[in-house]
Amino acid sequence: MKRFAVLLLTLAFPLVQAADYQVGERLNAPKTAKAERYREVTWDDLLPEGWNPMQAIKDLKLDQLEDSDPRAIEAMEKLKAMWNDAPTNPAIAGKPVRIPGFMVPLEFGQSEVKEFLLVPYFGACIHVPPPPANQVIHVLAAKPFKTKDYMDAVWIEGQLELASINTEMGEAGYRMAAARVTPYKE
Amino acid sequence: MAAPVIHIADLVFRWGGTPCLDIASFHLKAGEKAFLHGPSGSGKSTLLNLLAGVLVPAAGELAVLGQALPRLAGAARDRFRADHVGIVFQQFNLIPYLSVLDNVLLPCRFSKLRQERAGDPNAAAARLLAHLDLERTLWGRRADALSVGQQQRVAAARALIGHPELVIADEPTSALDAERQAAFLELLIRECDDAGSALLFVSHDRRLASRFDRVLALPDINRAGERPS
Amino acid sequence: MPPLIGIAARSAWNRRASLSLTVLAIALSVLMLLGVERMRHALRAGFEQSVSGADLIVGARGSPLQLMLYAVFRMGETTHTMRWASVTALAEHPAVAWVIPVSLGDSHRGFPVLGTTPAYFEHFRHGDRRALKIAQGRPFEGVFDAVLGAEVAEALGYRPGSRITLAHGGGELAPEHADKPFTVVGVLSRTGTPVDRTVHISLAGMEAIHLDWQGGAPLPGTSIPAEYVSKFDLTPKAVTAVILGLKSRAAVFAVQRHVNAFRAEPLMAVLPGVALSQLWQVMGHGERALLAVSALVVVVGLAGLVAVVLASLNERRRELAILRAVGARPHGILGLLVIEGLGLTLVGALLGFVLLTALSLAAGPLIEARLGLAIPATLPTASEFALLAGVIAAGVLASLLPGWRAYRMSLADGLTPRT
Repeated sequence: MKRFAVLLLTLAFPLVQAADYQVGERLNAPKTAKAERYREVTWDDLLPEGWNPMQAIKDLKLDQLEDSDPRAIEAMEKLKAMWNDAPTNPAIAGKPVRIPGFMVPLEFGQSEVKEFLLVPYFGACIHVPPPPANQVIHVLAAKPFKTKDYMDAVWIEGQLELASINTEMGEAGYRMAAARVTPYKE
Repeated sequence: MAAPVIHIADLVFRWGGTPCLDIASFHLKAGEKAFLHGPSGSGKSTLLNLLAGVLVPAAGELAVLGQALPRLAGAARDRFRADHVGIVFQQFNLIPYLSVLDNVLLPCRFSKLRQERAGDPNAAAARLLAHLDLERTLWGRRADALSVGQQQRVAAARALIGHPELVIADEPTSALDAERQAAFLELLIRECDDAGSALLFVSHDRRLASRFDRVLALPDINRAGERPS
Repeated sequence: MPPLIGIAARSAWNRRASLSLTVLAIALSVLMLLGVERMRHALRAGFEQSVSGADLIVGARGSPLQLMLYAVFRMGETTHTMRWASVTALAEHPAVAWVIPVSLGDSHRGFPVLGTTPAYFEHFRHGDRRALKIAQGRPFEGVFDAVLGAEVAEALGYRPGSRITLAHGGGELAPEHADKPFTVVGVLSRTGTPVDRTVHISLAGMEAIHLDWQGGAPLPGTSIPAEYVSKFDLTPKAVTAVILGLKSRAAVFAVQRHVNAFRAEPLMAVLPGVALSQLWQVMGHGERALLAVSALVVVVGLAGLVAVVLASLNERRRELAILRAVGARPHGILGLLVIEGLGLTLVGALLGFVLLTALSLAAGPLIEARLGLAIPATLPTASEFALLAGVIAAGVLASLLPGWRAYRMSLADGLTPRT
């Protein structure tokens, strides 16, 4: 009986998409007029000027290549390397910002999330590869954020810091301590 | 010149389209005791409900203690009744699951005026019950544990507590056996005198009429004729 | 209104014979509603407490949820294992602080057996970052040492020094490793997680009992006695999964990417928070269905109450006429009925909660032993209060029906009801 239940769960699993979001979906450009202390930023603002990982494959005609073609493999390797090497944007460090994103919970329990990674799109690390380091913010909530859905969309407000980058460790590029977390509503 | 307790002029009440009550004039003075002979179907219940402020006439004047009842809103009429009118029915006068004492005290719960007039409501209730020949041991009992005769006397006590200006008794003796009827009537009249209340006594039994100041028959003053009940 | 409350109470008490059954029905429906809610929370809490402190769970590529359920909650099974070489490779990754390899598959009298390393006792966290505590004895050292979870020791009456034999697989007819008994050397304190129901042995021990087995049964003709086991290399070749702790939590994505791209064998790394979140999504549907059914049962209970009160209205016409005679308004009559309904619902809800508490106290320990769920017997939580408030509000709403009937009756009857 237990086995059947588990089998059913794991089968039903891929059929279920969370609440309202599709995997890979991004949040709309916000229209709110909050301004004040916090400057609203987008995820693109977190990228340094001129960084474009797609540069590596720009000249290749990918649709004409087979998956196993050495040129395709090389391009993928280059892409992965750039992904891993994702540099941060020093211009935005130390600024008080406001940005929306999806939570990937790190410390949670009893309908509260205390620590999480903020990513630009839903489903990071479910069926879609996780974003590069300069598109991830390691957030420590000032107060535990109450939510039933641990992967919900939220706004965070706070001072954006550069996390100590150790590319070997591959940590998240940005960090926000004592962040104010509020639910994201359309 | 104090306003009469009841003043009725050209009172008309209709059930459906047809008038069942049409009274040219009827008055009751303060402290007066009137016997109204009303066989069933003569519009007796309608008149009672009108006097109590439960129904509103279609036309005419109806004033109790100078207050024109039709002019009052429903809630105000209910309050007026609580303050100034005591009612005794033929039977089933009491709330069966309340004690005798609680039944007597009911009007004081619903009317501040009567509570104040009674002074100490418990003492007033005790006095009335004693006067009505009900022994102390019965006071704490459930109302439905008493005999019919005892219940009627408790009902009288309830109608009289707090000195209402008007007491309406609708066939209060009809459920009693002959010997007790006279006794009940005596007690009722004596207490009404004591309290200074006017008494409108409705009954089909004319034998009881002799004790009253005035005797009338409803069919005589009701121009609308007989209606089936 | 105050005089009506007393009258409503005494009136209801007067009819207690017929009303008590409906009150009981409401009580039972509230019991079900709150019970379902409590179990839901207990289940969620149980799952959440079991994974605290694990940053990633790595295993053979497959279903992330299945891996987590198996490795952490010992529920279900996996068919693929991961190689020991991968475990050591992961341990050497600069971002990884510690690894706890786990190997499942055997059982002892219905309790799962977990093969692991001493790192388990050092690094495993549960609940609010609490470490495992040894209540009696010590962690395992020798090949045939076993450390028991609190429930196993209590249910089967084991102490340090007891001898046990393990069975291969989990069924009732599982063949036993009878020639290689284990000795209990330690018992853990209660955690309220699946740890309590687990028999822990070293990976070496796990390897030892399968030396002369192949594909689930002992090899005929070969039998390696326990004493000679030490002559063999007892490094495991494969494990079920590895629980990882990272030096910095922010590195999860990087390590996950590294694991997913592992060249040596197909692996996957599961973030417990994400997997749990998805588990809640799947469970959410069932939970909502159960809640809807419970709410329906409450509605049925209230419908019964309304029916009983409506049925009794006819006999109460005289009573209502008397009240009107002493000055009650028709709205007061409505209020009387509503107060009565409210009072009865309140009593029913309260009784339901009392029954729930009694049941929690009586059956709680049993449920914790069998399912590993801790159902506390506490005062209502915020969400339970909300449910109770909802039930009472529904009761008031339902009472408006007989209230309305009585109101109309009172208007029509006046002082002279025709009964």
